Amino acid sequence: MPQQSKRSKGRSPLIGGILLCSAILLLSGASYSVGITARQVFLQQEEEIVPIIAGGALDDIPALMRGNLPSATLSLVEGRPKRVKPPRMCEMPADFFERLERGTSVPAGYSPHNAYVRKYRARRGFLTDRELRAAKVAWHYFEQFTQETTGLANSVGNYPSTTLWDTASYMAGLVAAYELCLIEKPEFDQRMTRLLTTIKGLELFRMELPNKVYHTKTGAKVDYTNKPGEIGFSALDIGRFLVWLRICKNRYPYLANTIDSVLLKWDFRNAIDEEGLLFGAYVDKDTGETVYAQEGRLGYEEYAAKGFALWGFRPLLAHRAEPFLTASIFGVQVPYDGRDPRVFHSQNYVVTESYLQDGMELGFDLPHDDATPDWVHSDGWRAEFADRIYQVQENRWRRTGFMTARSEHNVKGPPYFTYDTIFSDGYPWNTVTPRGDYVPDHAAVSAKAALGLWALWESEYTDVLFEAIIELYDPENGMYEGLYERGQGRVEIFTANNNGIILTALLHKVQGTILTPYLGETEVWYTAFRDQDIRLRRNYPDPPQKRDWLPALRHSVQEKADF
Amino acid sequence: MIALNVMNAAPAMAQTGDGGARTAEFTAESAIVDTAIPFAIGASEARQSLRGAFGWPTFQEGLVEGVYFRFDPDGYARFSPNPRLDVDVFEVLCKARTKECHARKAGLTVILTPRGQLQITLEGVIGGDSFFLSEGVSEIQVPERVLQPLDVQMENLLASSLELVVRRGGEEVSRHSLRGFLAATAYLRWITNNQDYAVLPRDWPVPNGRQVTAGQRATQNANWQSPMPQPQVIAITPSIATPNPVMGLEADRIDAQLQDLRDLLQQLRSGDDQYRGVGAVDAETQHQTARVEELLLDLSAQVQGLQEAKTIVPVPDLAAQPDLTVATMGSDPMLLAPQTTNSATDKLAYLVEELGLDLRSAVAVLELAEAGGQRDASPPADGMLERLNLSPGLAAQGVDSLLNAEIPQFEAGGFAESSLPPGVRTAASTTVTDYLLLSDYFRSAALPVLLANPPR
Repeated sequence: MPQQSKRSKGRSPLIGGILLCSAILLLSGASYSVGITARQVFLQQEEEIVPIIAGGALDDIPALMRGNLPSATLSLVEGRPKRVKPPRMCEMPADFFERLERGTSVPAGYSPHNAYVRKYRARRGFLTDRELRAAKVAWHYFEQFTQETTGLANSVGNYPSTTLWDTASYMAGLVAAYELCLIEKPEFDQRMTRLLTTIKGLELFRMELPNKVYHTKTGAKVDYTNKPGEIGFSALDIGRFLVWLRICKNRYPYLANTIDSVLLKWDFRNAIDEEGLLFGAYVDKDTGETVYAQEGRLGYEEYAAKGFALWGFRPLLAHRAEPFLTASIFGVQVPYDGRDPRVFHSQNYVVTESYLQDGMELGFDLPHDDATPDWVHSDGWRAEFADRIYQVQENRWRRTGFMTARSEHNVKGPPYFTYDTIFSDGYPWNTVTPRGDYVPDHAAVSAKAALGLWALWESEYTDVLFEAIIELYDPENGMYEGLYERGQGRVEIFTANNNGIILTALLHKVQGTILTPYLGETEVWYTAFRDQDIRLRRNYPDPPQKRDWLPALRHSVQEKADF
Repeated sequence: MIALNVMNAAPAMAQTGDGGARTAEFTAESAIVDTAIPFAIGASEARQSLRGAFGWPTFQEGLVEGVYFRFDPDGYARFSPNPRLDVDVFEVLCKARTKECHARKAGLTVILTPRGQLQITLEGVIGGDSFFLSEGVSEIQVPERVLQPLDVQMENLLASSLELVVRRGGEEVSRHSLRGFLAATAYLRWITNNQDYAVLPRDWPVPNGRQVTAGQRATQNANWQSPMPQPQVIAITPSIATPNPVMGLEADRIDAQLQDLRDLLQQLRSGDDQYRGVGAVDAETQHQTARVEELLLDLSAQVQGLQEAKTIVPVPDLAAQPDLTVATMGSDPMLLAPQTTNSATDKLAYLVEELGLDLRSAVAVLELAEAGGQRDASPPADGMLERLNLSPGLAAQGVDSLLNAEIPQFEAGGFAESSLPPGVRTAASTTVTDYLLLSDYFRSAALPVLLANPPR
């Protein structure tokens, strides 16, 4: 115990205090020196920042100059080679398809970047005699029903009116006829130039966008009774038309200026909002004022959205699948639009057409994708949903025996037009009129849907569809609209849309995805009116950059049949 | 039958023609119905989902009397107990650009006759078949005249039944659902009468009642039920009852003469200013008046002949209604005595145009009125005087002086009620203004009559 007290006497508080102060001083000095050193290091780095180069990536370019930027596409950003536009059928080497890579060894499913590879491949090859005959007959519709005065083609037979949707079908037919060597360049140029000139001169709906319907003989805007008047504009029709303007511009650069000048008359301020929803317009019956209403449901909405995106717009919300629901039909989860028709007063028709157009014209790819091969679909969920649309129709055929290729189509006599749907209004295989009456007698195998399925899904089932449809034609008027499901024979109507899509399907067999990459650098569409406020007022976009790309998404995948 | 065949053929015809649809159907002239006017409470106009270049932009849909319905501007409609409008459907089709419509369901067709009555036709029915109405539990037999234009009782019976059964020799031949019969037939009448709510059945849920006039709230069967006795032919005939062509010609002639009378009346009215207040009638006016009288007599004779030849018309005793007569006379207080025939024409026009009486009834009313007043050619204004208890003798003493004497007294507040003849006693609530107006009326209307026709 005494020894312990001696030791405690040796530890005086003074020594402890000195030690503490020394430690504090030491730590303070160390942290000061570290801070000074770090500051010197950071200052040193700041001095090494690369200066902003005018027009470079870090340059916040003013609107005046932004038009000269190149559009950022996948090939530009990632340095990958662009897809190549295939030659016309008559210019293809005989072994063209033998050397064609089809990616048959690539497994189906989503990639890490949400691209999708389908289980079935598209048909590829030269047209057979039967197919070539069908192409000639389908083209004959446009020879028969194009008005010389305006260059516009009638929507339905010899009734002289049309919409932008059907005019796009005419452009599809024209491109296909040229690429399949049914017509030569002089006729192609003459028809296309006359058409574009007429469209540029069309009187717009209230100085905004083209009216829903035009008289094909006079080019005057008309109402649904083909009397002079105005209805409004359709964002879906305009979206499809934009797709085909882009296809023509990319394929035939010498038409670019003409095409740009058509669009540079239009005013897009009310067609797309800040969130990227598409809006159509109609006239209020009582007040006569313009009413803008969201337009498009799952299927059509995304297709039209891509049309806008191909011209630099950013339809972010319109391109998304949500809100969507699924209905289990023959073991397939069929996606349909989740917006309640009772609230939004717009039906959610599930038909084949918009998926076919996306697949054949755009390759189920995102608008900025100009590099991936045909069997890789960068807009993955669109291809996966399309697979379901195909599968449920094949399943119906296998389970019930009904050949099924459903689409909207005209019919002969009242009600003149039906939505022959896979699912709508809560019912599968619902055939309804534009006002919603159930008319099962008008259910039909749609010729355009059958040929479209045949082109994109090389399967035993689409072979059957092909046999049912390929001889369904009148040599004087074109391909018939379809074949009634309940045995009433052919749907004896001839339309621009049906014949245009059939020609697109046949062209897809020869050339694959119809949209080809843009080969130029800048576009008048992006550089015009830079010294004025017109671009701002009309909502003209700047060349899209990588940050503007539509996102590649995926949704829950159905991997096996759902029973 | 021809008309029905044409109507039935309309959809088929629409399917022929050019290489495309018969898009000419979608013209402004073909729009016979305004889909913005609701057919019943809760019905609403909606926009059609058009993708193509033509079609009807709107339609109307709703639920009434237990059936869902939709109709287009061209009148095409469907009525069904199912909201999909797919089963048990009454379909209404209209002849292009007209309001000639019919409703059909399987073998049952309902049309509206020109008289506004419903008539049904059934496929496969022959003479001797019997008809039964079923309401789900029991059946009642109905006479064969169910295939004739329906009276109100028969119509109500059909509307309240579920099925119409046809039996032949005790065996059932066909069974026709009547669900939606009431709604479909009401719709037929509604569009035929320019979407007038007055023709809809009793207790129909008429929308937006605040804007409906009091007269329209009550069911007005008279608007669609002809007052004329209906043929009650028992025999089954395949043809649809059509109006007698001879009757139609006669009616046309009468219409033409009536138009002449109206023209003359217009001429006379235009010349009123020339002799108003003068009290004399020039030769030209007398000549025209004579023409009017001749035409009226001719008209009366023809109507009388028609009545005798055809049927006895149950004419309501409108002449006994002083309000009507006075209103007729008072409708144009500026009419002067020399225009007595003109006044009769005016009354005729009033009865036809304003009160909605058919021509024969109106003429009969005038004849009865004349017969009640005087049998000679004396002006009807005398009759008015009688109804007002003003004897010619009193008039002869000078109504003018009487009135001139009384007005100052009244204005001075010293109106002695006892000094007036009993027939011209005014109501206690009559104001000074009213009295003055009435005096003016007498001065302008009665005095010239008395001057022109001095008491015998």
